[in-house]
Order: sequence, then C-alpha cells, then structure tokens
Amino acid sequence: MKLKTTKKIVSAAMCGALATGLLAGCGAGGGSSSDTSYTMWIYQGADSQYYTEYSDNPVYQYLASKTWGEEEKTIDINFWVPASGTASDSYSTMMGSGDYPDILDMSISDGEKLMYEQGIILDLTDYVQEYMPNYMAYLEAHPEVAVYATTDIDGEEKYLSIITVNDDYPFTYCGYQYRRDWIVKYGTNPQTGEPFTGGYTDENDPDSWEDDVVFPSGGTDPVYISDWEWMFEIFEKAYDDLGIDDSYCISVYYPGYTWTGDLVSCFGGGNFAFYEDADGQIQYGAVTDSARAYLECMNTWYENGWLDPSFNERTSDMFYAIDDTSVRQGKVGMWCGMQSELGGRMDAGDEYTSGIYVAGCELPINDIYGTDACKNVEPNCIMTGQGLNGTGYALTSAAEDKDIPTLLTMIDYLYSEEGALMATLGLNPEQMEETGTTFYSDNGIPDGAYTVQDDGTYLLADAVRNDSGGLWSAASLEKFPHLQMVANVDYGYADTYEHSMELWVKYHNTAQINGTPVTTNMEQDVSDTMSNAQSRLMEYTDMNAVDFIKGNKDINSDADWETWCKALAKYDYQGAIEEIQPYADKYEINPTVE
Amino acid sequence: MSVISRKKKVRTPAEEETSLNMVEHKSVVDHIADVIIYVIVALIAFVCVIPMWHVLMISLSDGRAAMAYEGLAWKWIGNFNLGGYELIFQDSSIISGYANTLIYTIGATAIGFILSAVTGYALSRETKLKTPVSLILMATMLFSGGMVPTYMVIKALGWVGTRWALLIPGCTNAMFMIMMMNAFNSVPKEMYEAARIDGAGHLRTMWQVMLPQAMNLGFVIILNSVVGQWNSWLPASIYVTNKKDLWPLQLWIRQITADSENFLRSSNPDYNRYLIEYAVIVAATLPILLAFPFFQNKLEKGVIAGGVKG
Amino acid sequence: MAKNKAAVLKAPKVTWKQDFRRNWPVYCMFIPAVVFMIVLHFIPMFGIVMAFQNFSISKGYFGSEFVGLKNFVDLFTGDQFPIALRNTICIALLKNTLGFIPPIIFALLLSMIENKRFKRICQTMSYLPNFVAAVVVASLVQEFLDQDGPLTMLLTNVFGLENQNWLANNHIPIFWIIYILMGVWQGIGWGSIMYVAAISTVSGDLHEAAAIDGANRWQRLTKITLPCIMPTIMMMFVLGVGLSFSTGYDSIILLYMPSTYNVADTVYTYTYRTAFGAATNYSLSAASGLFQSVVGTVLLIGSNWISRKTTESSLF
Repeated sequence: MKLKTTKKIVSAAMCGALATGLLAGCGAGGGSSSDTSYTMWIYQGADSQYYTEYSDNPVYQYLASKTWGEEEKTIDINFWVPASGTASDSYSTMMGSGDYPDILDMSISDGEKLMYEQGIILDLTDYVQEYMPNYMAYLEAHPEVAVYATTDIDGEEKYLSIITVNDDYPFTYCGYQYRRDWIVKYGTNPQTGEPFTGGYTDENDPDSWEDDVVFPSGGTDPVYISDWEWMFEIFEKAYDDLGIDDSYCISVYYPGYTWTGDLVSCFGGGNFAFYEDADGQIQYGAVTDSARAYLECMNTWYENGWLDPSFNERTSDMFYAIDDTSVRQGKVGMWCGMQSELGGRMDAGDEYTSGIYVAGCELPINDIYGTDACKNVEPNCIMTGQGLNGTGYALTSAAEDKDIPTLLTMIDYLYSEEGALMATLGLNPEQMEETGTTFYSDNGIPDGAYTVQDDGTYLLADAVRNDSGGLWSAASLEKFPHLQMVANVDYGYADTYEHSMELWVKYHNTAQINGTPVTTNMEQDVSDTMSNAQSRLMEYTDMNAVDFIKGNKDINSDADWETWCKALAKYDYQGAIEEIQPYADKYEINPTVE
Repeated sequence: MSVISRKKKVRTPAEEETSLNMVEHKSVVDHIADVIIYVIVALIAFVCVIPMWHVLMISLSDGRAAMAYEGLAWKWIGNFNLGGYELIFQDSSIISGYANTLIYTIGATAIGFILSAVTGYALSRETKLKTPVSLILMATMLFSGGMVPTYMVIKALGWVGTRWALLIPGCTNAMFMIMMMNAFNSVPKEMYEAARIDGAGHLRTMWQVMLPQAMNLGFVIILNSVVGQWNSWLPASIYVTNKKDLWPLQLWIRQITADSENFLRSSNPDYNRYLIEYAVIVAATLPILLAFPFFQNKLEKGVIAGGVKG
Repeated sequence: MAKNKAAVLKAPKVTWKQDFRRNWPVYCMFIPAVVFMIVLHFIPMFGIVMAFQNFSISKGYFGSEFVGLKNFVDLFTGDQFPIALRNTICIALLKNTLGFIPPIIFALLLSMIENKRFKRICQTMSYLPNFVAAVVVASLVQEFLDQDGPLTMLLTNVFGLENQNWLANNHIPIFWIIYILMGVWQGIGWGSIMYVAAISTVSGDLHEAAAIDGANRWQRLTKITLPCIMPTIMMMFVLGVGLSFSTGYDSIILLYMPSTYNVADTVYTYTYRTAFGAATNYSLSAASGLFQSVVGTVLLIGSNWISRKTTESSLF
C-alpha cells in the first residue's frame, strides 16, 4: 500500500516535470522583426568549452553594443550553428526547404554563381561599392585577392559575397617536420665528415635549440629530395642505435598520396587531380611524368624500408598523421605533423623522446627521380596555407527587406585596422571595458588579447598563444568576414619555432584550380562534369596507387604504367580538360602584383 | 508465431528450468556437458562485456599514458584520473542535455506507445480497413522520401525549433504497431467478448481489459523505444539545431567529442581531452545500463509472452 | 506477428458500408495512425522523384530536370557496382546464416543452465552491447583489430596468425567475417531473448516423457526443443532476410579503406561515396535508396512466401 502511494507520487511528480519541460520548449519562438536583426548561418561555432552560443563571442558583443551607419542603428544577429558533423545536413535542409538565413557562410555551398542564378543570394555590388570603403580599398591594392572577390555573371564582375582576406600569407598549423636532434647526434657534416654539435641552450625552453647542421645541398634546412634521403640514412643509424625495430623514416598521407598535391607536386608540379600547368594548360595529374616520378620515389622509399609500411591502412581518423601513436612515442624520423609537435614539445622524458628536437621543413624539390622535366621544379599545388583569401559570406534573398547598408557598414569596420585587429586577435582592455565582457578575465587573459609594441606591431597575449587553438578563435571573431592581420602582428613565437612555420608556407599555390576563380566561375554542367570525372578518377587512383608503391606493379615498366594510364583514360579526363580549359584561359589562379 | 500460440500456458524462466532439467540421475557425461555449457555461456557473457570495461578503464586513465597504451586496459592506465569527466561536466549544457533527453525519451515513448496501442487494437479487430492499413504500414517501413521532404512537412506543421519535432515524428513506427496488433491478437477472444457483452465501448475494452493482457509485449516495445530515443541525435540536429536549450544529450556529446578532436593542435595539449572520447561513451551509456536491470524482469516476461502468443 | 489463418478464412463477406456501420468506432481508432503515417511518411515520399531527376538543391523538387532512368543506369554501370553488389549479397548471406545462428545457440545453452543466478547475470551481461551506439562499436572494432590491438595480439600470440591490421586485409572473406562477428557481438544477447522465450514454452511433459523413454539431452534438443521453436526461428529469419539487403551497412563507412574496397564495398557504401564524395549527387543516392527498397521488398515478400509454404508460419 505504502509502496503504491510512493509510486503514485513519483509518477505524478514525473508527469508534472515532464509537462513543465514540454511547455517550456514547445512554443514557437518569435524573433524580433527589426530590420537590423539578422540571422546568420555559420559552418562551425567556437569550441564548446568556451561558449555554446556564438552570440556570446566577446568581439560580436562589442559590435552589438555599438551603433552603425548614418542612422546609428544597433545590430542584432541570431546565429545558426549546426552541431559538429551535421553541417552538410543542415545546409541541405536549409536550401531544400527554403529556410534561408540572412547571412550565409559559403564554405560548403553550390558556389556563388549558381546560387545567384537561382535567386538564392543577392548581388551586393552597389552596396559594397557604396558602403564598404575599407574593403574596396584593400581589394584595389591587392589584385591577387580581388580576383576571388567577384564572380563573372554574363561578362559583368559582380560582388556576390564578401570574403575574409589576409594581408600576408598566414601560417599554417601543419607541415613536414623531422627529428633534428637525431641529425645532430648520428649525422656527419657532408662536406667535412665532422660530427655535428648542437643542443638546447635553455633546458626549459623547447625552442632554444642551436646546432651546426649542414645539409648536402649546402644550407641549414633540407631543400631537395636528396637531402631527405640523406636524413633517412641517418635515421636508420638512430634506429639501430636505439634498438627500435619496427621502424620507418617517414609517415605519409593515406592512401599514399594526397590528391590535392602536397608532396606530389614536388616532382615536377601538379597533383593527382586537375591542375593548371605553367603554360596555362589544364592537366590531369595522375597520368603525368611527375606522378610517375612521385610513385617511383615512394616505391623506392618503400623498398628501402623508409616509408611507413602500413601507410594505406587507416589506423586513425586524423588525415594528416596516420601513425600518431608511433610519432608521439618518438619512433619516427619524419612526418607531416602539427605545430604543437615542433621544438621539444614532444619530450615526455621517456625512452625515445628525451632530448627530442623537432624542426619543420619546406616541401622538398625533386632532384633524383623521373625525367629531367620532373627535377628542380618548385612545388605548385599546396593545400595548406595556400591563399590570401578565406571563406566568403553571402546575403540571401531572406535579407532583401533588411537594412543591408547598416550591416555592410558594420562588416566594413572589420576591414579597417582597428576592426581587423579586433577580429583577428580579440579585444583590448578599453574595448573589454566598454563591452563589459568577462570572457577574457575568465579565461586568463585579463590584459586583453594583445599589446602594442614599441615598433608598432601587435603582440598576441601569452595565454592565447600557449593555450589550445580553440581559445584564440573563441576570443576573436573568426566566423565573420574580416581582414585577417598577419603582417603587423607578432604572435610571440620563438625564432626557431617561427622559422619552422615559415618554411611550411614557403611555396604558394599556383596550379591547383579547386576553389579558385577557374572553378567558381564555372557553369553548372561543366563543374558537374569535372566533379563526376574527378570522383571516379580518384576512386581508381585511391585503390591502385598503392600497387605501384608496394611494388605489386612495376613503376619502371612501361606496360604497367600504360595499363594505369589507359584505365584512367576510360573515365574521360580528356573530355573534362577540354571543358575546363576555357575557364583556365579566362581566369587567373594567383595573379601577382605588378 | 501462431503455431506455438496453441500452447496454453506462459512459463516464466523459473518454471522453465524445472521443465528442462528434471532428470534426477545425471550421468558423468551429463556433468561434463554441464561444465562445458557453463564455461561457454560465461565466456560469451565475458566477451560481451570486456570491450566496455576497456572503455570505462581508459576513461579513468591518465590521458597521455592512455594514448600511448596498446592492448586491453584491465585497469586504468597510469594514475586514476577523472579529468575526462570533469571536462564533460564543467559545462552546464550537458546537464540540460540529460534533462532534455529524459523529456524526449519519456514523452516520445508515451505518445508513441499510446498511438501504437490504439492502432494495434484497431488492427487486431476484423474490419475491412485492416488490410489497406497494414499495407500502408508496410510501405512506410521500406520506402522513405528522405530528409529534406520530411523537414518540409515538419516545417509546414510549425514544429521546427520546438520539442514537438522530436516528440511526434519519431515516436513510433509501423513495426511497433504491428507488434501491438500481435499482442492484442494473443489475448483470448473470450475476454474481449465478455467485455463487449458487458457493454464496454472499444476504448474501454482496449484500455481496461485487453491492454493489461497485452502489456507484456508492450514492455518490449516500450524498452525498444526508450533505447532508440535515448541514443537518437539525428532528428535533433536537424530540427532544433538553432535552439541549444533543446538539444538532447547525444547531440552535446557529439559536439564535445568533435571539439576535442583537435586538441593535439594546441602547443601544450591537455591530454585529458583525449579521454573525452571515452568518457562520453560512459556518460551516455551508463544511465540506460543502470536503468536496464529494473526493466529486465518485465522485459523477459514480455518477450516470452510475445514469443508465445504473438 | 503472424496472422491467424483461420480468422481470415472465417471473416464474413460484408460490404464496406456494412462494415463501417458495424465497426465505426474501430475505424475512428485508425484515424490517428493513418494521419500520422500519411503526413509524416507518405507526403514526404514525393522526395523519391529525385531518383528520376538531375536534382539540384537550389532548383528543388519541382524545378529540377527529369532524366528518366539515367541515375539507375549510372548506378548499375559504375565500375565498382558489380563488386559492391557481390559483397552486399555475400554479407547478406553470411548475416542470415553465420550471423543468424549464434543467438539461437546461446539461447539453447542458456536454457540448459540450472543455476538461476548465474544464468541471469550472464544474460544481463550479454544484453549490454545492444545499448552501445553503432559509431562506438565501429571504433572499438578498429581499436581491437589494429596492428597492436588486443584482439590482433590474441590471434597472433595464441593462434599464431600473422600480426597485421585485420581491417586492412583484403582477402576474402576476412572483412566479411569481421563484419558479421561485430553484428553477432552486438546482438547475441538481445537476439536470444526471443528464443529463450520460445524455449521456455516447450512443454515440460514432452521432455519428461522423452527422458523416461531414455532420450539423452542431445536427442531431446534436436527432437523436441528445436522443432518447437522452429516457427519463431522462421519468423526471425524472414525478418532478417527482408532487412538484410537494405539496412545495417552504415558502419562499413567507418571500417573500410580504398585498399579493401574489393571486399568491403557494398551498394550502400558505393552510393554513399559516389553521392557524397567529390560533389554531392542527391539523385544518385535516392536512386540507390529506391533500388535497395525494391530489393528489400522483394526479399521480404519472397522469404515470407517461402516460410509460409514450408513451415506454415509467416510474418504477414
């Protein structure tokens, strides 16, 4: 009896709680209808460790506390942020159902051209020219960026989206790096035969490394493939000495190459997809001599035991470092890794990582494999850190009746020095006080995101630099179109650390056409042809490149190579090339400043 | 199942033991066989649990050590560490996630069960509408219009961004309705007729006379629905994306896991973030595992009833 | 879930009007479900037209160009399609044989255990994997079968097999077996519930009589228990066959890699890649979905028919 009563009370209480909960969330949310309140869809929000609603972003709050435009209106933005991993679902439901946000992040989209022709996004040309003087001034000064800002509609250059721009090549967070401490310990000077000397000058500073290493090519950094192979031989000595048996020298991308081109384009240029060669001709990369030279090199490395033998087995979801475990244990000499692994940061005091010093290096230039045309050519297809422009943001037809001038006036502020600094780094103490945000003090940056140095450059706050990448993007306004300050900002990196990162962005993309005006101006059917051909070609190369690398097929045999080329020709890359070529003739990938 | 439905009585597992093992004198062979059977069953049970034990132990380990560790974790690796859980629960959103999940799980299961029961009852009556409706149900099991058309319908109903989108559309399915039909079919005809003669209407007959009899299989449906709702995140990611206060637990968990994936990019990585991946599995699965034994009794009875009579 | 044949036979022949007059309250009870199904399932089915269009998200369902059966032609003529189809059929076959039997065996073993407490604990433990999300299961499989994974270690050290990443092995039928065993691990306990139930209904008198006649345990198992639970087995089998072609391939996406496409690629994954790889092709994925639904329907109806003919028990 008693039990029954309890049961009844409990169930009644539960029903009550349930009903309250239900009522709380079931009403349709009514938004404010002011013409300066906008909705904005962004691909990804900030790390949920810092805030879950993007409107809590401190820089956005600063902007929202100000008035903009001649009529001095305040702006209110309601952010739509899909949960991680559901961005493309969210995008397709939005587009399919006509539920457009006012402001749309174009990072996954059908492209400005098509969406404009469908009437989804607005032509901003008049607005941009009238209300965005800073943006226009920047584009005029930088024609190499300006080509990305407009879209060709029936011969007219229209501003359909506003793009984030950089004032210099930004650092990238990953690239090739190697165990320089092993070179010092086990290598000898290629000219004199003397052993190298070097080490840390300050035990507690992971970047305080000094040495006298010279590479066979003569410099203090590896430049050529021959320098790399010289290093591999030294690594082998290290493995023998340390008694690491299941060792290899370099971990490469799965499944043996990247179709975007890093490392592949070191062998005469190009990638395993469509690219534009130095003469302005569109090529399909996987059948070229450079691809063959690349595969020959990989095959040699594989046979020599230098290449990770399980390079094509996915052991981790991280695409850039397939063998994270071995790398972190200090058992690998060279790998494509992250900035967090540079210097002595991986030293865990255990068997193989004590005294570790990791240095970054640029992509190598081939001087060994393939025909002469494949040698001594600078890499030209680079995925990471390739460009001066970033994500575009468009206004959709939903924003037609909103106050566009005021919005664009506010966005233009982010292209002025003051605004750009704020969007790139975060708020300074005065701005923090004006906004009343506690974000910075809550996260250990009480003195603001940056300080101004004597030489006029801006120094990023220590806590931001040392914390995970998430804090920086949470403290700044990464998800808005803005001018990303690179030139005048001092990130506070140590010289060796910064040097490594500079090497990673030494070469720039001049050949890869994806995401450049060549593809963004394509008619729908051309881009369909290209992507259909590309996905079928990729499937074939994904499955079969490994045979050449592992020696199941002989890369030096013309018959085997012909089989490969013929199989690929079946997917009609030639037809696709012919359709792409006119666009390559018309648009430039990376025009240089006169 | 109609064939075995001729058996008169439902036996509980306890009764069943007496039925199968009533032979008093066991030979040596029998004893050996017994031992082998016990060992195999124990082994299967062990294999079922061990990967989860591994996850639990890793989630309690030291992050860096766990990352380098290879093999099965019998106990935590390195020092005992709750860092992964701290990272998850430092955010109050996960608590609201638990509350929302509870609302969706209980709400959708209740609504769905009522709908399945009413339909199942109607299907179990001999009417001419029975066949067409069954066909409709079958069709929905096999064909689907896809995500976007469904979204457009739900939007037209005005449910996007509200809890209704998570409570109604996925609350039941053709399978559950057909199972309920079988449950009602298994109730002896005499009971139905007696109730009708007493002048009870269909709703009352169903609710007061038939449902208690059919409840055993009903529990199976409820449990399946509870598990399904508990683990569901896709509808939420589509319909309440922009209302974080309506997010269920599983969506928060996906968010937190994805956010922590790139922790190694940081120049001094917080290795506890490696544990998040494991800790969230525990955090999301443990409540339902702990609740399960309470259901088990009813469940077993239910399945037995379903298996026998359905 | 079987329909009672006798009941169907004796159903009186009445007109719709008469039936409605007599049973209108029951008709009313159908309303919620019919509304539910029509609104939330049938209206969205207009989306299927996409399979016959060159669908563009911005043009929508009504503006996209109709291309007839082109998407199906594209699907069936893809180089990888025959391999994907073969793998799907093989995995489905294994699922309905190798993957189908363990829960039955487990149930039979459980029924022979006398110690109630032991039995209960084992049963509860075996249910647990059912509650784990599929993504988690897939990542566990990856972790355990990796070159240095616990299971690989076991196979190498105890059974002397070559140390390798088993998921990267592209020899038939390694991947298939891994995939089937993954399903078995997840479903052995949950799947056995039905059989445990069916076994429990086998009359004790039958066993008693058989035991008196000198039948041993094995004989009683094959002669009494198995025939008695056959209808349940058949019913589960029909369901399994019906669903085996179209569902349950999602986690392959997490487990395969280009070098194992030749054994791991299925119709579902093949479409997933072509549809969402380089450029999203919604039409192709809709066409493939429709193809799988149709095959699934045929299988379900076919296996149901066979089951009805051979064992007189059927799902519908």
